[in-house]
Amino acid sequence: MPFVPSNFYRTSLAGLHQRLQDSALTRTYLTGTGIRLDGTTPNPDDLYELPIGIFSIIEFAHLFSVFDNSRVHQQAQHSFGPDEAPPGLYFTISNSHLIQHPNKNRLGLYADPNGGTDLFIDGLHVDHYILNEHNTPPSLGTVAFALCAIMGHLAGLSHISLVAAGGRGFDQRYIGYRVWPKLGFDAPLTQDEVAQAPHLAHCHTVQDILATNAEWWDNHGSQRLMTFDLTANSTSWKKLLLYVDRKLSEGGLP
Amino acid sequence: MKNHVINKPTETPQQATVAGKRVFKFPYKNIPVVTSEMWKQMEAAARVPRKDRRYPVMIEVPDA
Repeated sequence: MPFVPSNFYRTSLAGLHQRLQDSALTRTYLTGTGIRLDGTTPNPDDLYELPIGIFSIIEFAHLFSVFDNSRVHQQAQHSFGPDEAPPGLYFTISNSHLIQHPNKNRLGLYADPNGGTDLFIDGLHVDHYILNEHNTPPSLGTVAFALCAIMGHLAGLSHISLVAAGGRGFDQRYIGYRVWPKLGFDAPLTQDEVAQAPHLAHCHTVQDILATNAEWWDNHGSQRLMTFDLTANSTSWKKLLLYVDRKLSEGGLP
Repeated sequence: MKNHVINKPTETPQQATVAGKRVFKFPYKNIPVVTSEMWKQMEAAARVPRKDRRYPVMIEVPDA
């Protein structure tokens, strides 16, 4: 169903959204076909009523990165999950080709108090997300995330959250602490984190550091909960739009 | 900062308005809101090293 686009969407996202939708990757892997939803095979014109609006199958697939031929399971989670995912409405996605077996991707919507009696669904939490590095075409992860962010903005979400893993003192198999910020994720610095780096004394966030000395973050940064700010003109959008634009201009986005 | 432009309270029930189309409904009933205290708990948990946890991975390493 059509969402009411914000001015920011019209001026800054619509063109990219169309290009992403027209890309060969989207038309091959994110068309909303072949999906099984809790044992049901949806029809192309079925609708999905979520607390943030009514979605077509393609919009639903783009919001939750549901690749074609995936199986999807819905779960209402009433407390913290085993990996500290917040209470929310989650979708677990399995795909034998694109998601690294035996993992499943898991993304969900959650609500923040709004300072009043209204309950607002504000966030999308990425609990688990791992693509099969052997079967996933180059740039599909970027396309899927950009579509997720754009769809989230259109649907009125304020942020996407995840744990960006690895770095100093953490599991060295992960480099999410370096990668996710390059796509626009951000987090506050911990107390005294830059105490030994006077040239970063003015920095309060990961993005502040990247703007000043990205190499320092690569070498000294570490794991934490990060968010992508979906609100208009955010630093997150500036980073993501630059990155995707670069991919497009380099011909790296089929 | 909240994206208030088109956000809607969940208290307002929504109706599928297109006749003849099947509508899958995913209600958000009895799921607690994430309070600032819970958010702090998530932030603290994320800072605890764990070997048994699988974290979100973007397999494409950005080139810049």
